[in-house]
Amino acid sequence: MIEHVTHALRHFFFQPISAVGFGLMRAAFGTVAGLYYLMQWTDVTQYYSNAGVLPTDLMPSLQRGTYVFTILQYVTEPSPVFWLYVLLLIALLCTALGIRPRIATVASTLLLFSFHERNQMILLGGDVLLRNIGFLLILCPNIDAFSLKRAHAQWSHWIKTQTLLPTPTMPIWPYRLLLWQMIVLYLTSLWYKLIGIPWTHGTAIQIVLHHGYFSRLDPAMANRLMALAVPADYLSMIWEALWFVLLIPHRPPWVKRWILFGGILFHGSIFLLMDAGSFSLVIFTAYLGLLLFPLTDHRTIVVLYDGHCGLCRRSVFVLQLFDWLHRLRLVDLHDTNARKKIAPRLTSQQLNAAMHVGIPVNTSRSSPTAYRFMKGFDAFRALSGHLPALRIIAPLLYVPGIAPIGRRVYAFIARKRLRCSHADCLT
Amino acid sequence: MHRRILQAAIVAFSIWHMFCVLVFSLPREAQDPVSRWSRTHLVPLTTPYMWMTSQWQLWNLFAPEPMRRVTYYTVDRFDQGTWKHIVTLNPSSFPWWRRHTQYKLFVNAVEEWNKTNRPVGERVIQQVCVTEKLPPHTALRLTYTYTIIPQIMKPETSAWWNVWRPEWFSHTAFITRCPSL
Repeated sequence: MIEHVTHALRHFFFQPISAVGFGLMRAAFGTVAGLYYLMQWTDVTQYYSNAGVLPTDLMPSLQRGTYVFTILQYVTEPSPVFWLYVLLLIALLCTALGIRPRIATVASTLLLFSFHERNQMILLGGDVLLRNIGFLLILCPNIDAFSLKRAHAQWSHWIKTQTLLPTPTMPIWPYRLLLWQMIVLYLTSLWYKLIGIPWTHGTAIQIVLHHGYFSRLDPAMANRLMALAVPADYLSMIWEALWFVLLIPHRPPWVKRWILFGGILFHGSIFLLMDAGSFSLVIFTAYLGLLLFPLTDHRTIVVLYDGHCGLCRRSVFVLQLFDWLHRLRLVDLHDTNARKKIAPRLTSQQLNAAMHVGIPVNTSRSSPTAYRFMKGFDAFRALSGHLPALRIIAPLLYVPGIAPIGRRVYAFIARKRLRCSHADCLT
Repeated sequence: MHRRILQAAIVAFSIWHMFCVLVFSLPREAQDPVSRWSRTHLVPLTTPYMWMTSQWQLWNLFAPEPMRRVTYYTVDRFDQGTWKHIVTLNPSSFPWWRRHTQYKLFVNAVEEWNKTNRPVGERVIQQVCVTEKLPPHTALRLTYTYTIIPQIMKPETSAWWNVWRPEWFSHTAFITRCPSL
């Protein structure tokens, strides 16, 4: 019994998952917090120094006096406060870019806490969630994905071995804490709505859209949307209630995807219709941390490229950076044996003219994989649909008119490639 | 052995953190017996941890009631025996990158004005002395102009909203002076 419980706990808290989601969340945290704090440039000393609106001797009467952690209780003069603020911006920039990501994230989060605790009168909902995200990033064992640090390590590894580093992984417990935080956020928000009258009577969004400060709509436009406001009111509560489903174990993966999609619609609508500060962007930041990328995908995609061409090698290196699922198998067209095994019908002349990509046409593990080959722009377009990082641009590449332009551009670059005789040429 | 101890510590911490986040976030307005018991016995247990780690949170955004009061602030100066208007502060008075923090500051320090936060409210208004370059000891008067969107009990039609007009009220909040140099 104890063994069973121990094993279950170990699996629940420590099974390895991809660290890509938390890496993305780290980058977004630095970006969003950095942008919103940059907006305070002209007001820093007013908000956070003793020369401003809230001197430290007034703090205890207006904010809690116990369990307060803030460097700004000791740094109170305008000039040092301003330089501490500049340090916060630098730390957030390094967090976003992934320059010394661990130190930058810890420094930016602790400084963020200090600024928040110093003056709570200007905090909005997004600031609370930023603190929650920063705390989890400090605790997470691996936040190096999508960082310059990792990009440098990838390049060094590639130069030596022509392969990329394996997908970064982390134990699942930080993800569990983030998911729990979001479930609590939405379910308690729903609870608050159920306590009051406007939300349960379908009038809350009608009221909010007429608020002269929050609503981006002029009164005439807001009035036209009144009929839609009522179903939006109830739908938003139903969607918040759905987060309860994420507590159910072994649910299908599409459940969370659809709930997150609903969140994008919900918070995206708020962002478009209302001026409510940073909350929508911070929520999207948290959603990035909830993305669980599979560690591997057995459906291999073959990329045939010219290993003697510097531009080609750099291009496939970049493709591999986007290959989070490790699906790409790179084959140098000059490796005759490998090439003939995979693409016996393609000639050297054809392969020299453009990069070729083979998409598997059967996914059964028991039978040999057959490939459908595409070349040039069409190959890149097919790849974009299969690599998670490029999926966002894939629909754009199918817009009518894009393909002819793409093929011409690709052919132009490929012709220039053939004029280069040394390995380092780029065009 | 060390790895097992570390794993046990992580499990214990995770369970504790999840417990604290849930308990601290429970709506303070909930009146069911479980919520009242939790507020009495569990919230005090979790509060020190949530405060120390800056994880305090309540998700009452636009709920239970969305904010219905819309306020503009007018600052006047006393000059040659009469009050003269200096500036009206409404959402469009501030550049978009300053709106939210300035508005929140006004709501918390000025609009929610009482004896406790009057010193802060005065300091907020005295910022006008700097921006308008007013001489020291100039008397300043803050006036609210506000409307309250009606508490409608059932959804209203577009036609109803087309006819509705906000009713504005004005109220003098306090008088203060620009600080000496």
